[in-house]
Amino acid sequence: MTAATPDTVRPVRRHGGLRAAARVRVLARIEGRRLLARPTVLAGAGLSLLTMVTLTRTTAPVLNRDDTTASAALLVLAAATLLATNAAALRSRRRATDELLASMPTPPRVRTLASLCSVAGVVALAGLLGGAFLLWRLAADPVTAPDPFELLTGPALVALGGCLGVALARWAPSVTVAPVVVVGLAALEFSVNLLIGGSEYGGRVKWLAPFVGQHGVARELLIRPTGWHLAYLVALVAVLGCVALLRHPATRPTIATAGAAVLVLLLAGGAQLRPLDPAQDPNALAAELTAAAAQDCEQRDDVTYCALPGYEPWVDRWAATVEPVLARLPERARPRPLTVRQDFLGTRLESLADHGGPGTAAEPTHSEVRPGLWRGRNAGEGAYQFGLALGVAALAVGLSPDGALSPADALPGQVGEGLQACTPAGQARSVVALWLAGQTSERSAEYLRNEVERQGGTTAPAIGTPAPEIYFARPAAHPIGALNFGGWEAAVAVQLLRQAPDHIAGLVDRHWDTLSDPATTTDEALALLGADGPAPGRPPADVSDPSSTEAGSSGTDWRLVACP
Amino acid sequence: MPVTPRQALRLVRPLAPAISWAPIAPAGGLALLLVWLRAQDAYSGPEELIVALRAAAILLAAAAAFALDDAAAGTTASTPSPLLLRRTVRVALVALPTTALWAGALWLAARKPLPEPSSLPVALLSLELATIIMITLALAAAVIRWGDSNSGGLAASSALLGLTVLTWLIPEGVRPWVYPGEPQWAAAHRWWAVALIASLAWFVWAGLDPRRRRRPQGPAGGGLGTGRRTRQTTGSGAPVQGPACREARRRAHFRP
Repeated sequence: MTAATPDTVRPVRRHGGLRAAARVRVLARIEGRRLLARPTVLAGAGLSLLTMVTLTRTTAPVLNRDDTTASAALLVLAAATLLATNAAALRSRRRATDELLASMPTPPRVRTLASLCSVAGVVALAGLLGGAFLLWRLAADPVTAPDPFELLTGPALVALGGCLGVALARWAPSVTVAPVVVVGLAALEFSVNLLIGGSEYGGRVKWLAPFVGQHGVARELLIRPTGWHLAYLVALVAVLGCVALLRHPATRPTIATAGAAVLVLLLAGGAQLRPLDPAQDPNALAAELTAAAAQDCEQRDDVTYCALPGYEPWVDRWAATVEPVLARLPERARPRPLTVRQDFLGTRLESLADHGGPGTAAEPTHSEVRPGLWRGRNAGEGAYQFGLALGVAALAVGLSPDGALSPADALPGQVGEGLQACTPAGQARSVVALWLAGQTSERSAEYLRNEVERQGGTTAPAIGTPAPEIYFARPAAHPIGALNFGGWEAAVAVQLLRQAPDHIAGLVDRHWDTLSDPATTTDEALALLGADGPAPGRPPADVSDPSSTEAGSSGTDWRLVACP
Repeated sequence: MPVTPRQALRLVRPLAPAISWAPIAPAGGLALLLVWLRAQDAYSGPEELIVALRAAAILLAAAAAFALDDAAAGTTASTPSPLLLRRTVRVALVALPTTALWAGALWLAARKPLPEPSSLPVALLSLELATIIMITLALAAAVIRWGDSNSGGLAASSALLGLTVLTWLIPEGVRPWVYPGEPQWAAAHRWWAVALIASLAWFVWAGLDPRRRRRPQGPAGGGLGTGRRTRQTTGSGAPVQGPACREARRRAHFRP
């Protein structure tokens, strides 16, 4: 018999640890495959992808917003993963096989750990979905750059859902718990984000929620602690995993991991709640970015284009919309100088004032058109082109942004504030502006036709009846685009669009002085432009009376006056 | 055998402990909290209140989805009381606290001063709640009919959440979530009523006893000696068919 020597003696292995790790791997692989095949997870993945596409298919890719959209959409998969892992972890209870499994060599702690590890497959699926979405957006001429931490938040949310499902299964072993928790979390998350609002001042506590949206505020003006938030989510995942494991007899690695995870959670959570540096004031950021844009303006013919940093590729698109409008205007009627200056108007910057934030942005001047930080694409392209062209056309016919306060600007709860809004309804120049905007492109014309049909106003209003209104949603050139241009005027413009544009342009050129006069009515424009259809000669009675008021949809009384 | 109200009343006592009451209290509490939070917010208007009420309705429906789960379905299938009667009694029992919670949510919402009393349409919102609950119960009945008698609630509540997300993604013109004053308000609620009737009809059909769903052929409509193929027998030799049969087969084999 050979004596054992130091060279022949192999080190003693910890069979329990290795075997446990191997068991966890095998079980996790099996559970992971089953999880990926569950209808709930597949439906969640499908709905997440559908959400990503539906929310973005009509807007051009702006990657510093699309990354948040992708994470928001993955909340659906996270909820589905919570339900699926909960059901999987409760399988033995539901099938009454707990006693059978108790006779197996694999302890319950190992099965719980395997359930937790099985979520990795769904997390990878979430990453794939986010990556596929990003690639789809990258293929469509994107602007700005995504935040990698923001992109990773989606898969982290899915991991959080999975671990929460397992933890609930261990501590509250009932199938009735998970659905209620999902709906409750969804509702509370929704409420917290909306209650505290989009302000970054005093609203930092919302970062303790799993997901925080951008709430329509320009991403460039938001200080989002995405890195700390990702660390917070990962720590939360670890904490929940340890909570699930602590349902069984605690082991040293579990306690140590839980302690470390709680420390990271407190550190990352606290870092998110730090008050902002005064230099990071959204107003200061807006001013800084606008100044940078002013220095990088591009001159094309008589038009100056000023895009915010990162949005320069959009100048070509703006020019493609503005130039057809200017081409149809008489030389003397072209607004000079004309600046297309991108701004934060229309991105709810002004709502920050309600929460102790900055005030409203500077009002546009009489020679500026202010497109915002979004651009229409596919089905939304027509609306965008029309809105931008309408801004230029409105300036050309003499409509001023002064007093262009629309009901959309009224805050809920304000009653009797005496807000005033002007409307060019009943004026010939409204018809001209709408025609100029509609003839820009086929999509623009189609958008106007659809809006007229959708909002009524295809027939002339009878004398004494209220004048039909038309409002264009999400105006590209806020605030001019938010005016009521008159439903009947829009219907007349649609009629004119059916005729040869050169012919109408010739008539507009010939009668420009009359058509751009605020005193010229729509009926007179019908006669000058040769539009078909009856002209009952409706006087703009609704707007001539200075005491006329209307109740806004939010209960605010506001006055309608004719635009000067 | 005709069903009598007395028979239904007698089922209340044995069925009440068999219902999963656990999710109703937390779901109801959460629903009331959501509505209360929204009612306290000075900046929220009628639309925000309606969103909170609809979230409360979904919560209550997710909790009510477990009303039909019955671990003893294989045993109770042979009782003289029809399946539809047993399910109706279960739903009626769950409807009591659900209705009370919904009334509480409406009361909380109505306390908020609104510009017009008609901006909170109580009747139509209650129609929406009834339809959501009926759709959930119809889904649960479908899952129980074709699957496990104890998984109807889980599957139905999961499907309800998925359907809710889907309805937010469909085009605005056909979306069921409209608000007072919108042109589709009346038309949308006609569709809500149609959905309520359709889900109720499905619930009734799925609640018919398996024996009554098939036309009987022969003296007893089934069983040994009729020439009809039977799938499984219980220990006593009596034929067991339909969901109870599947349940018995499942319990005969262990599954990890």
